[in-house]
Amino acid sequence: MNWFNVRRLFVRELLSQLRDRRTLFTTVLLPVMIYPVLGLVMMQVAQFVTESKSKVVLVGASSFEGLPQFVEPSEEEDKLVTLQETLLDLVPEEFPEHATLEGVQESLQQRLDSKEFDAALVLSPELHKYLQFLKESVDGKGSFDIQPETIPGPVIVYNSVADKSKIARARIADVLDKWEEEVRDALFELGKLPLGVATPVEVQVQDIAPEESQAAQFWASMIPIMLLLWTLTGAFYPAVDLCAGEKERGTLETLLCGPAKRVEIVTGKLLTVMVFSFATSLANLVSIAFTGVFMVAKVMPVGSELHSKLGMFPGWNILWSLVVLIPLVAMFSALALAAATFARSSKEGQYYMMPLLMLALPLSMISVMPNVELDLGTSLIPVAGSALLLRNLVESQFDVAIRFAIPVMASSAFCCYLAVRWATFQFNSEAVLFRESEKWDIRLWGRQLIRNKPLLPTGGMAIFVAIAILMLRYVANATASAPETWQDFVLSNSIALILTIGVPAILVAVLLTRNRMGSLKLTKPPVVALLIGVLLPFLLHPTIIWLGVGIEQLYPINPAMKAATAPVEAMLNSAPLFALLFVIAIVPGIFEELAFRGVILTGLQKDSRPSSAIFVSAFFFGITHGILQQSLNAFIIGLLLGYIAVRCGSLIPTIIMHVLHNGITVLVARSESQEWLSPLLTDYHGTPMYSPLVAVCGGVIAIGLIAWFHIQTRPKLAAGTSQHAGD
Amino acid sequence: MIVVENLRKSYPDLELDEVKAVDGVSFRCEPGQIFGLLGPNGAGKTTVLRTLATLLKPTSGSATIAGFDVEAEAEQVRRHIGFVSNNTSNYDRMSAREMVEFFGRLHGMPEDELQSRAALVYEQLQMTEFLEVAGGKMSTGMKQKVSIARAIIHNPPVLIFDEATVGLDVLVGRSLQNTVLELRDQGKCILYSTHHMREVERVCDQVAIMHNGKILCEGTQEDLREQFNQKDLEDVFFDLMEQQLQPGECE
Repeated sequence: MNWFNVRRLFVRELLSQLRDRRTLFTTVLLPVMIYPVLGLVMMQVAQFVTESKSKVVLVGASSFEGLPQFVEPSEEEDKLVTLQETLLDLVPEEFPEHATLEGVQESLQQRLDSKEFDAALVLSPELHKYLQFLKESVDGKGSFDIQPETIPGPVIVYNSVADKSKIARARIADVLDKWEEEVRDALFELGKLPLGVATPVEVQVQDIAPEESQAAQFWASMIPIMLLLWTLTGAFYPAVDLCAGEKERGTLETLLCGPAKRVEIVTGKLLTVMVFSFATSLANLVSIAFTGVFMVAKVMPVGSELHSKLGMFPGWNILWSLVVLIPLVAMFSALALAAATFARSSKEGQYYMMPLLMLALPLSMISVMPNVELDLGTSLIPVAGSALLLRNLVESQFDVAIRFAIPVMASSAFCCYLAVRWATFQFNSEAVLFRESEKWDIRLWGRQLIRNKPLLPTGGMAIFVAIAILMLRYVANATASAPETWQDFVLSNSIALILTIGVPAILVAVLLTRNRMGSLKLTKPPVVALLIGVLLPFLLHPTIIWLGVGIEQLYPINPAMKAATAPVEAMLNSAPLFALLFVIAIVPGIFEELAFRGVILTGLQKDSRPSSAIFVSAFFFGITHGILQQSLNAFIIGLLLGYIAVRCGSLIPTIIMHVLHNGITVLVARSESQEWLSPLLTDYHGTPMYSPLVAVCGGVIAIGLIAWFHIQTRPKLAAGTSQHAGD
Repeated sequence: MIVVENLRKSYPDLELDEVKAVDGVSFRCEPGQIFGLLGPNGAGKTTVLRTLATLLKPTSGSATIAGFDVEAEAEQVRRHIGFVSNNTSNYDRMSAREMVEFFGRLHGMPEDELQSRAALVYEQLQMTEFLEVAGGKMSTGMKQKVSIARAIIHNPPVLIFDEATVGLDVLVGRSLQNTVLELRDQGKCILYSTHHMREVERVCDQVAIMHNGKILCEGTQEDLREQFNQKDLEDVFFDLMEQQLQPGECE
């Protein structure tokens, strides 16, 4: 790569974007303006909210002789005011004679529905009597023995769906709380009891979090999401203009027939998109900080309701977030560039913004979920890790942030690498660069699919099988009922697995390809591969079990899920060994291999490099396993199985490996086999586990064996064919 | 020099299974010569030229430009050609000078050489009056001059013009043809595709008539007129279209 050319391309693209008013508006001006404008709107709204009064009907406001009152006559006729709350407009009404409390409530409910008032407060004659009774009892004139079972009110009637009604309810409750305290104090005084008796125990709470972090919680959740969204937006608009826009204007062809290499063009464009994405985030962040520091204080002064709800704005601290943004900017820029390259026109480019947002938004929302904290596990999740790291920085929890900064950055950098690879691939594909608007006809397409079958499956068929499997698994899991006996479990699981994983793959190979056995990689393997297939499961089993333990440490299994699977596990312990081996080892070992290392891997191999094909097939193999912890484990095993299948071009060794691995897992879990395995085992938190030494030794020998296998073989599509020579 | 041998390019197609955009095309073009590719729309001219400009990869066959293979040595090929087509536009937000010099720098020209070469090109193409005008504000004639200047700034031995006069008025079209003739006189090897007979008659030394991805016949203008016993090239062309001759029968 010629870096001088990259610099020239970068400077050109940058100048071009700086001369485009639309891009400047969306990436710089809009993010700067939006917060002050929002701030001003909030100020207006805040005034509006504080000025409006709640209209409340007060039924039965008869005097409570001798006890403190919470209302007094207003200057306005027929109205009352409360002593503490000035925003309540109280309209007094008599408690109808001979009416029950329920009857009154019902009629109020109807009037509330017709919006006659915001809420109602009912003080029934029973309440009056009850308070009188208490007064007389503490005064020594009555007896506590005849205390009623329930305390009769006061009752607030309101509608929780209507905001105004909710506000009215909160205001009445505040007034009543204070009134209740006063009534209690008065009763204590009457009974000559010290006031301290009312609250004999008072809990004191000491929060050790620094003041700035305890105050910033709301902001710490909101700011990362806003930043991530703007980073993506800031990347997307220039990317669309630089790729789809150039295609549309005809300048891309000018550039492509020039001397610069494709990778130089991609890098130049990527750097430009990154600059804009970063500038958008920076502008956005400075604007948030400025608005926060200067305006939030005015809109919600310390002690105000909003301040107590949202907490103090974290201040200029949030500028720290910029450091985290760099890898994220790179990742979003590469993704946006790849999506924009695929588009034929700017208009089509805009369509791809939504799927990217749909991908990024749920991941960034993880940072606002309760109980989710930044740890090694969450830091490795793309986007979510960055959002959590940003949250910690905004909360000024620098110690946590520094500890997990490296995994977050590494995960983002890896995703960025994948996105750059994708973007470069798009730039090298003439089908993408010179894509005309094709006329697609399902009838013609179907006819061609049947008539012109390829020798081996295509990349499109591979992705189709993978997605079909995911959808079918989803439907099967959603409709499955819990098995009642082990026979039930064995039968339903085997059938579901064959139907959802095996059948789609076999159908595609049989109906849509000419070389059916080759498509499923059902070919004769070299002896060396068979040897590997038999030995590796034994050598690697301890390592893989420890890998599972490691993954569970990173992402602990939800206790509720553990509890839910416990009865099934108990039931399986009573099942005969042959049945377990059948359902857990043999069926998945054969049918998962036919799908993932058979049709899917073979199809992917045809349209991409072996490493990419292995990675993508392992990814699908992983997510088919449903539970995150199993998925990660399956993904890693999928990489190894994919590698073996690609090197020997046959599925037989990987079927052997898969069946043996799952079979060994079943056997080792049976208590009777643990006796003769005991020399290899050690105690790990109360359960028998392979000793770490066994795992390390097995792992080392396995690596040696794989290295020897690597020397002996070359990548193949199917046995007898070498990569890219399939059709 | 351009050497094309049995070049084929096909695409998958839903209706026809496979479209043969270029079907076994062979020709040679020498330095100091203008080779005209004449054919109706959809004949496959643009696909041949895009393959020569390394924008597309041939399905089979081979092509070399200045001795470099278009598939294996694509980068070297691009350094030795200038490509002007109605699909290669100029940047709207760059002035004529910025555009031309940007491509000169991409070709790795040293700054002093670039400046002296640029001055020469601007004068040759009479561009000095609109050097600072942005692409978006240029007239069609100005844009075409900038395209040519961009293609010849690095003084390549081979030039490819693909329907370069489409959309130009008579005056600008004429001026472009004059430029092409001047470039030929400088010893450039020029491949010129068009569907205008008059243009071919005026500028091309050697002509190949393409239809449905094949070259139907090839030769100098006199050769073709004699062979078909016609007065001008247009009649030759219509004769050919009517007969749908095979290349073999043409010789």
